[in-house]
Amino acid sequence: MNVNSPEAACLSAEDISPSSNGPRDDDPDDLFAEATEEVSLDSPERQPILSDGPSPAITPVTPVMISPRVDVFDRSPDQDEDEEENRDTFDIQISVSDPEKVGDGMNAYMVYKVTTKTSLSIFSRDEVCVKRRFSDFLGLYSKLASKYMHMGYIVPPAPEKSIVGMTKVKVGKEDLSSVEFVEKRRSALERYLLRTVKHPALLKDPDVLQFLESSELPRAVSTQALSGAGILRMVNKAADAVNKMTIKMNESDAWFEEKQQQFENLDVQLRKLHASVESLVCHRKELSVNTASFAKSAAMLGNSEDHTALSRALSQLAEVEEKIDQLHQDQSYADFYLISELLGDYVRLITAVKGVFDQRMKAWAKWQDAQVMLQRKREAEAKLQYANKPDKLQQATDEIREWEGKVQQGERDFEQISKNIRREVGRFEKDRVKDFRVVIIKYLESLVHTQQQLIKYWEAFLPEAKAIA
Amino acid sequence: MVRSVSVDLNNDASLVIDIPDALCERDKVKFTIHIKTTLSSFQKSEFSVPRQHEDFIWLHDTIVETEEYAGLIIPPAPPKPDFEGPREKMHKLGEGESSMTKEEYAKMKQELEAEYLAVFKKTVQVHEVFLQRLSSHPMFRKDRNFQIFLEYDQDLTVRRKNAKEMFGGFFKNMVKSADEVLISGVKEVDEFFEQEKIFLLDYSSKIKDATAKAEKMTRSHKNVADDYNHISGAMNSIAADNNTAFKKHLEKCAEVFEKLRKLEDRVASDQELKLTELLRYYTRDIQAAKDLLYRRARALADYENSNKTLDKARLKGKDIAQAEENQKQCLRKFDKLSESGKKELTSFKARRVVAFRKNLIEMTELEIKHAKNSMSLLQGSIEILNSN
Repeated sequence: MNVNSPEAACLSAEDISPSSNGPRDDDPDDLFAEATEEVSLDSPERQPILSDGPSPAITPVTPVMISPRVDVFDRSPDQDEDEEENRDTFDIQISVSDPEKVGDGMNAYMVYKVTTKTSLSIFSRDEVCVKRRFSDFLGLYSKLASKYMHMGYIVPPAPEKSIVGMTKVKVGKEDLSSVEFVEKRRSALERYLLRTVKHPALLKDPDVLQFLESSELPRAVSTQALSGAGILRMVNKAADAVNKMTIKMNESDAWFEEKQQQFENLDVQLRKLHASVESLVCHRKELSVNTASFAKSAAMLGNSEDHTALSRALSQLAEVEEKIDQLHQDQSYADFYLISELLGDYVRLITAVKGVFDQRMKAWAKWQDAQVMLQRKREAEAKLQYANKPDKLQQATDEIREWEGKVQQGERDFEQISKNIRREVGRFEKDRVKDFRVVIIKYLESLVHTQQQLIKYWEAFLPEAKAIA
Repeated sequence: MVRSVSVDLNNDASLVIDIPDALCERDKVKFTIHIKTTLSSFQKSEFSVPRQHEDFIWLHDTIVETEEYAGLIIPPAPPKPDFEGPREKMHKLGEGESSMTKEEYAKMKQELEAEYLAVFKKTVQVHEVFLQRLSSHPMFRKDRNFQIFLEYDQDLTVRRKNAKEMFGGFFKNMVKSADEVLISGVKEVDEFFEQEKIFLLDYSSKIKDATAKAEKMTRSHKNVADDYNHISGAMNSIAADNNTAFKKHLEKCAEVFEKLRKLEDRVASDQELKLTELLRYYTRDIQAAKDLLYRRARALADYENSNKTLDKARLKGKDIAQAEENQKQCLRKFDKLSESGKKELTSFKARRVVAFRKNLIEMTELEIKHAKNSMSLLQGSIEILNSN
């Protein structure tokens, strides 16, 4: 296959167009703008590895490598900002390759080689190879989702399970569709890892590092419910429960309302675009098959033709059409891997984004609930004032203090997740624009190549047609 | 109008026919036949006459019925104009007008017009070729009905009805599609016809198959063009919701896909016109050649039967003169068919080779042209998108 998976598309550092983020990114050249606002040193649950800076951009800042041998967990929060800006030297390459079938029959599974090449110091070596199976990837995603989604991070979803596809592979069908299935999965797993490490917080997560580096990985069990879709389904169920609340969330921030609507629209439109591209892939494959079929028929016609020169020309036409059918098939792979799969990834990512907005609503609901509870406790205490039960009164006062704390926590959590989401959405939108621009160019170039070959083949045939005498 | 399938048919300036125009009214297509002639058998030297598809069929049928032409390859009748596709689209356009944006409506209208044009070109070409085959043939061009077809300045409908009444009953007898069993069963003494028989039977099935495969291939091209159309529309929807430079980028991409669609459509319709139509036409022409073989085989069978009858008559001593006369006639007919058949089949091969050559060259040149246009479109777009 002569098509490259879009890994390079996601990794190349390129100039970013003026940002279209929320109100905080006024000055795209000031990398520190967001960073200075986001730091909140007294927030206890703030993980030591929050992402702050915008995506890699060509900036005048001299790239400074992360200082060697610094243990991720010992870093104090403000040190992280400096290291974040240096992601313009995003120096990590991951490839998923060499699918191998292990075992036989229905217990068989595929194992993939995951190779990480990097000069980042958080890794213990600059090149490491490990073997992973599909459920390992799902396990990684489920861990990351459970850790970060409730904080408003957009965690890239793992590829979908496919019972049909895998069964074919397990029972040993060596046909083209099994081969294509494995390649499709391999490519999807690679994109998944690249997206995951592109996220500044996830890159440093110990589970990610373990996944990439450690030769033995504890088997991820019960991944039935833990596929990307599975987790998102769980999350969205919770969101539905939230939505059914009688108290509608008072959206004080127009940005969230606007963005949520935008993502709803984008979801619909992307799915439509994806469907059209899938149709293109299908029809292009058909074109290839029909061209091959015509080539055979033209060859037969040439054999049957009793005029020598015409017979020769028809045979040559058959050869040209055979080459062209191969061309169409290659183009259909480009259609698929460059555009269709990328769109599929983004449709899933948008679901993750919507999930994150719902997490915020959950956080708001929790905060509101705490306030309601606090109110109740206060009322209870007031009543007890007149009842003259000193020990109960003490308990009530303690409970008030407890719930006051919870209300404060709830408010902080809500504000934190709101901040995180703003940042995450900004990053997401920049990445999306970048990915699309790069991929569309690659795709158009693939079309150019096809046309060039067509010209070559037909120009070679023309004299043959003219030679008919 | 592009005359592709026949190339040498208008060499003779004494009778030049073309169809410069056609009108589509509801179910009927009216072709404008334009004639230029130096022949004295015609009243005027240059004139035009409107004709319907049914008139062509009438002319074809009367020629098939004519005993005199039994030894000739009868030019295949043009197929009925098929505007079903564009008509369906027009219907959809009318129904959906209220629910479409102005741009969508304009775009669909444009597509519709392109489709109409493609069907038009096809049907005009095939009707034109039919007439040109007749005008360029030494015997057909003198046919009385052909002249009526060209010159009669009124509606032919009445004449057509009369003809049906005349021929109605005999129709089925005379016009029989080549009976392959009869043809292959005949014991052939003539090497030329033996070769032709083998060739035509085999070639006939191969060219039918090639036609079907070419049709599928063209259909796939059209589907790809359709997909480009939908992709373009979807990109425009996404662009509408975006602001800033990305919006322009997306709009530019949508534009590229729209242009790609047009090019892919052109590739599909040119391929159809040059390749599929060529194969379709010669499938029909091969059938006409087979029909000739059939008629000759029938004549041979008749001759053999007449021999048997003569032998019987001689044995019985009755009706000998009649049987002898019959046998002479059958032999005459058979010889005539063989002689003219040989000429016809030889010139058929020459005609076929010339037509294939011309169409393959034109198709190839068009493929190259479209590929070059696509390439420059794509390269230009890549430059613009990169510079953004």
